[in-house]
Amino acid sequence: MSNKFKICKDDFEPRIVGFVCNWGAYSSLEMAGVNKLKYAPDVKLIRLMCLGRVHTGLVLKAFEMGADGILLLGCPPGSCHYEFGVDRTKESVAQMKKMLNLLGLGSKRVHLVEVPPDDGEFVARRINAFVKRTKDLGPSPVKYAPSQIEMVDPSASLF
Amino acid sequence: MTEMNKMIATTKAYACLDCGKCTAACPISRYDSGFSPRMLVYDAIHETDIEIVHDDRLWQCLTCASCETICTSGVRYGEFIRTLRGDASEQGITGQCTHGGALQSLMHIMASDDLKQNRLDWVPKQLETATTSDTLFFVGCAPYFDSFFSNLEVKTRRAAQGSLALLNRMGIIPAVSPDERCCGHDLLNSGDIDGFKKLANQNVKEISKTGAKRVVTSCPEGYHTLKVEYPRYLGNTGFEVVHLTELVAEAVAKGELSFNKTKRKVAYHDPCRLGRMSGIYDEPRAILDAIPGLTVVEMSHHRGTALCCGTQSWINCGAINKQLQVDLLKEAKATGADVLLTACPKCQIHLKCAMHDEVLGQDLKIKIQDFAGFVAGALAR
Repeated sequence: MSNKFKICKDDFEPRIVGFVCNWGAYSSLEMAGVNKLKYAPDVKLIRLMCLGRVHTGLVLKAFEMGADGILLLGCPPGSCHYEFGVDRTKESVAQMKKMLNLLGLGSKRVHLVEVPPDDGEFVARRINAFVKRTKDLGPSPVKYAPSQIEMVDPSASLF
Repeated sequence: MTEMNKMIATTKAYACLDCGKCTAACPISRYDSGFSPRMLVYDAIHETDIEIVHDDRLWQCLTCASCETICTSGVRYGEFIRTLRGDASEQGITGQCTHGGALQSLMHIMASDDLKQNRLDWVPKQLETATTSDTLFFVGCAPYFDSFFSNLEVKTRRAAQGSLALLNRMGIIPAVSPDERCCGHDLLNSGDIDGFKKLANQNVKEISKTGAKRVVTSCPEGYHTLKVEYPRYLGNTGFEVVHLTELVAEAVAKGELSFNKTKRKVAYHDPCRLGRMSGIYDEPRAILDAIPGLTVVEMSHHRGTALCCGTQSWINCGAINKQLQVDLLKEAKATGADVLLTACPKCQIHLKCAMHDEVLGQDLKIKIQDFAGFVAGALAR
């Protein structure tokens, strides 16, 4: 049993979705690219205009579709391009964590990183750390039939 | 016979006399002249199957059963709309999810087998629960609602705590399942029959683990779904379902419960799942009458004609839905009651949401409390 568990852990490639703010964190990621820094390839990055756009519905949807972790790369307080985005993100993250705790997935599967602008090394380090943490947590217990996922109308409005 | 014709036959839609009483009773028709239950039935019979599943009107229906209650031909309108939504879902057409689809995802996540939830932190230390018992208390989604809608100051956990306090006082120590799932009501009513069946199977499995022969619910949606829809889709479930108010009303009639005197004035709102769909009107009122000094007032629309809280199954919420909530709250305020009582957590969420309206909010403010929490609070020590 313990042997089987070990194999599973070693072979486990986590599926992680990363939501990235266009203004701060994305410039840092580009800087990491310019400096030819390597970081874990397990995170599928999605660029947004602001992390304030990410609400609990999006994060739960990602878990429903089989994500093992969600990484939110946003801005430090006071440096939001839209001024209110950081506050909005913090409110949503608190709500997400509560829901994930209740579901038994654990709040550690969502992580918000405040990325200083143009710091490639920082963002690469934090991505690696989150991938390692998700690997340690193991696969998400959520299994939902993919046929259901395709059924959802992509044009459905969010509010 | 095609599937559509079969559905028209089983829901008795063919018996529609075109009298239009349903349109007069329908809360959506009151504000949207383009919507009419009668016309939807007419179109289902006369249009092609493809036309009807693409119809936007399918998703506007509140499934509040106002039309079903008033219909002289006994058309089973709720089942009719649910079947059409199921057909539409199979073709990839869904309603517009509210709250960013979070609650739909929540329900889908809960359908997973291996989930180990942490949902029991609402249980107060002074109350007793068991792991196995003849009676199980089906909590419903209250723990999730309070966390998700904390910005609306929703307090549906108190309904669960109140129910448990009442059960304990009646000498019942119920089992509470740590891995109970959502009852599936909202997936069923939004056409996701597969998702509903998965949740229903999980719940039947969890309930049978506790050895319960009787399931008590306080949530009207949970009550109706477990009692009526589970046997319809899964066959014999092996347990009997009772609503908390039925048990409490029985205990009150026997004089087993005593209450403190109070000077409050309350209005009771009949949730559609408990009133129109299950016929439980008298029990909650009998319980309130047993509280000494309490004044119970009725809103102008009550019992079978009670207004709907305006939204259903976490889909399609818009201006009309808001207007329905405003109407209900204005009616509640007009009674002069201090507290509006409702037995349904959804009513509480939707009405509190309307009270947060920036323009109308202040005019609509009234204290809303869940029924079980209120009654448990009045229990004599």
